[in-house]
Order: sequence, then structure tokens, then C-alpha cells
Amino acid sequence: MSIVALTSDTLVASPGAGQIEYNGQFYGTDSNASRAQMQRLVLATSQASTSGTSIDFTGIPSWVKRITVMLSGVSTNGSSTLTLQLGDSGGIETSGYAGGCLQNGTQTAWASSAMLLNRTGAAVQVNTTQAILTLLGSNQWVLSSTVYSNESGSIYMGVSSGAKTLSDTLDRVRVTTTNGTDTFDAGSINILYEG
Amino acid sequence: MATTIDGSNSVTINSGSVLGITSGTAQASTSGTSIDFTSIPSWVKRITVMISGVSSNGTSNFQVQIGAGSVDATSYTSVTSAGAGAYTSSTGFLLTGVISAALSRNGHCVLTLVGSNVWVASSVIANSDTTYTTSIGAGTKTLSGTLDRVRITTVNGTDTFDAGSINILYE
Repeated sequence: MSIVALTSDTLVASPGAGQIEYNGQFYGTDSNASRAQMQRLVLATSQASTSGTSIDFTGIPSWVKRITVMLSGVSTNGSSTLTLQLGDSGGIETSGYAGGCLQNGTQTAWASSAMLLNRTGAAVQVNTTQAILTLLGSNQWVLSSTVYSNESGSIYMGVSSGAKTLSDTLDRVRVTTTNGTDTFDAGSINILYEG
Repeated sequence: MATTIDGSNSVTINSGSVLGITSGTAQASTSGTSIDFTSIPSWVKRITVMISGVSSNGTSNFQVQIGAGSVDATSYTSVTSAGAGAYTSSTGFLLTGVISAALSRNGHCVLTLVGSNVWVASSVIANSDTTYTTSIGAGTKTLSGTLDRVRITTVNGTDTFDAGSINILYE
């Protein structure tokens, strides 16, 4: 591939061997990671949510400004609600979350320990969710999400929104349950990230 | 001008566009009756307004206004559902349906360009309370020119912000 350095519309210089730059947003060694940023929208590796009590996505780059967390046909063996937690190099953070979830006409406030993706749970419930996280600034992340819950044919639509400020740069997200002990038994989960 | 970085890899940058998502400067919504973001580039097709922990000293609902050269406060088609109620506004994209001075709000309003200066909005805004439900909004507005600014304010325009922070992403 030919490599050039750009600022706005103008070619300004030839970069060093193996380097690439664009308008201050993109700089460094030409690599799969840097090309991923240029592609803007990166799909992580889908994980089957068929076992375990949590699904983690780690190694999220520091330049990311939007993360879309996708749950498809996800269920657990219990009635605990589905939650999303964020983390940094210090690990997953379990406090300081604030928001609310409205599902089937009833409002529930988030616990401070996590972002709430659905309002009620059931072992027979199958959930499909798109949750969008954006970086407001200073490690402050804002979430809005929609959820479709199918509980043996009964359909519950829901929305959730809130915010969380991390102590450092986000590098991981976790999908789990409020009690942390219910086990995933169906579905798949993945994230898209972009910057 | 369109600049192709590498034709074989099909990476093209259009007319001054910045590659990737650009973040505005976060503003503390701790005073004033409105928060403005100006000088939004003409090539922008999507704007995400983010509010975190935002509250005001009154009960007037929050809304987003857009503008071309100045903020436009007329001719919005906007509705918000909050629990069982539906609320409308013609002066902005309504973010909330019911509100309390004691509660803070969090969430997104996403604006996208349909074309010919027509913008549509969707929003999900929540608080950490069970009485005041999460609000879901949608709307459309046609500007007289190219969008260059976004304002977050209240419907009455006089309630004062007293907590939180607001920023935008554009792309």
C-alpha cells in the first residue's frame, strides 16, 4: 500500500517508513490496529452466551468514542436482569452508575452497580438488545439502549438510558446479570466500536 | 476535493471531512438557560447530543434546537413519550415529557441528515427515579440552510441549568 500524510485536504509531507497520519486523529505505525481505526467501524469477535456468568470484551482501543453492544437471543438460567458494566486498566467498575430503564410501561431506576438492560428477568426470557455507549468527555460515558424481551410469547419492549464516569480510559465492557451468578444459556453477544 | 489515500484499499475522504468521529468540547450545564455548540462543519451527517446528570431549577422540559446561522425555534414536528403520556413541541426536539427540578437526566439525542437540510431526531433520556419515566422522542425539522449549530435548552427558555455536562459527537 502507498502511505501518505494528510492534514485536511492537503498532502503535507511524506511520513517515515511504515507510518501513516491523518489530521491529528490517526498517527503511528501502519498496522492492523491503525488500519482498524481508519476503517472507523470495528466488529469485535462474537461470543456465544451459552455458559458463564459474564461476557467480557477487552482490549478496546483508547481512541474509541462510540461502542455498540449487541445481544442476540440472550437468555440465562435465572430471573436476574441483564446488565452492562464498563472498565479500565484497573478492572470492571461496579459503582457510580446512574440511569433508568422503562419496560412494558414500568420504570426502574438502575442500581449504582451497573447499567440495566432490561427491567425484569426470567429463565425463559430471550433478549435482543442494541446498547449504544458514547464518550461525552473526561471518561464519562453515556448509554441509551433498546431491548426486545420474549418471555414464552409475551413481548416486552424496553428502553434504558444513563451514564457512568470511569476512573480512567475505557478498555473493556462486560455483559452480566444483576446478581452476577445466573448463567448464560443461549444467544450471542458482540460489540462494534468506532472513533 | 476528494482525496484518496489508497485507491486499492478504497479509503476516500470527501471535501474536507474529518476521518472518524469528532467530539465537541464538553460543557458544564451548571448555569445559564441554554448550552450551544456552534461551528459544526457543513459535511456533518450525524450529530449525537449527550447529556449526563443534567438538571435545571424548574419543571420545563428539555429540548434540542438546531440552526443555520442562528438557532431556529419554529416549525419542529416533535413528540416524546414518557410512560403513558405523549407530549409535543413545535419549538424544538423534545427530550423529556415530564420533569422534576430535583432529578438529573442522562441520555442521547441523535440527529441525522435526511437531505436538503431536513434533519430527523430520535432520543432516549432517563433519570434515576421511578416516578418520572424514561422518555423516548422523535421528530423532524427542515432548516433554511446548512446546519451549523445545536442548542440544548428548555421549552420555556427561562429555567436555568444547575447540574451536569453536555457534549456532542459529529461525523
